Amino acid sequence: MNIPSAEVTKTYRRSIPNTWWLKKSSYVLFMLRELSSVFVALYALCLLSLVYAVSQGPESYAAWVAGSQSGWMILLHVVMGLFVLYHTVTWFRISGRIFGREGSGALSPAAVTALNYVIWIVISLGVMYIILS
Amino acid sequence: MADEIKLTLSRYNPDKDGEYTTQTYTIPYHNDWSILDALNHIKAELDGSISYRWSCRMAVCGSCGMMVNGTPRLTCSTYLNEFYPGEISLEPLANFPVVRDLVVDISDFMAKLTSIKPWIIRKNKKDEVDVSSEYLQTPAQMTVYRQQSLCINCTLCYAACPVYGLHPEFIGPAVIALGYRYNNDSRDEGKEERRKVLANEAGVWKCTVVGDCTEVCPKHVDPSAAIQRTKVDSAISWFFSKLTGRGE
Repeated sequence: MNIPSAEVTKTYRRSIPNTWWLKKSSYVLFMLRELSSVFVALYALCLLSLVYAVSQGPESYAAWVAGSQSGWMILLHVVMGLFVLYHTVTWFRISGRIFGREGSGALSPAAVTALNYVIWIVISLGVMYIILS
Repeated sequence: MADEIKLTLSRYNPDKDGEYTTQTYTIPYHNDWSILDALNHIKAELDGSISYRWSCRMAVCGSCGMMVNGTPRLTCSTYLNEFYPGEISLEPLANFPVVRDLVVDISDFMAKLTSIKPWIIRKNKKDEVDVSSEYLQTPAQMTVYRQQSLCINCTLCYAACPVYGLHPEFIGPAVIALGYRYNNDSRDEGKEERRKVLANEAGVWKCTVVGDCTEVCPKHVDPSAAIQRTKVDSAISWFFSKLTGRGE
């Protein structure tokens, strides 16, 4: 009698299309968050160029400001601003889940996220005060 | 005429034609039927050739996971009334090779599960077999890992994770969550042993925080948080190992 050996079944592997991230809104939001990193870097470069312009004197700063007032630059800043805002919000949300804990004696995830927002607002107000005063 | 509902099932028979197709069944609609009840009805009354896994019918065994209208769900705890009068499509769990119809091969997951050593490790190996001594734990110590201990290995999180789909070497959400569970158990001393598996390219650092693993988990294990916390732990350990010149 033939005793069947352990059979290796021929399995079927489904391919993943390049458009996989369009299938679900959570995947789309994930890809947008990944893309936001590019705009965060771009924003950082813009700020660095501003700091450099300031360091070079009033004329250089005036030229930087003039260059920023074109329609395209304003549009770029609006897009960068939106992506940076989205990036920040997702970071705050995830930091709550990393450092927050349910239960007594610990900050809840929502409390950690809320704390992030409070610190953000306080620092922003501080920076605004320094610039305007 | 009694109410009816349509279910479209993925079909794959490696011994017959080897084609991956679909087949639609129309069955009586019952408000209190789970999708698993519907599958059992099809198997018993309409087509005995369909293959699917199931066991406990109460979201404990983790066997009956499938893609329900594109989302990984346990079919024993997903009800027809959530979709009625719409149709339901059932596919085998995404990101795994299909063995037959709705059955997938999870041997890759099982190998990864073993690699994380999901049991209590003691430095003194005698402790692991010594049943005469107790290892007491306070409720607060248990709270630290309890959420991650609820994993039933249903692999829904793997089907939801595009990183695992695109990079099959990724050890994946449930395995990392279980690593976290044991690393944070006050009785365990195996953190260093698990670090080799957790803190590398195919481990926690492969995760790009899509977060769907947590969304689909039927036991609210939150693997995504476990992964990100393990990243923090791994980064701190790496930093101190560089500072002190030990380890890594």
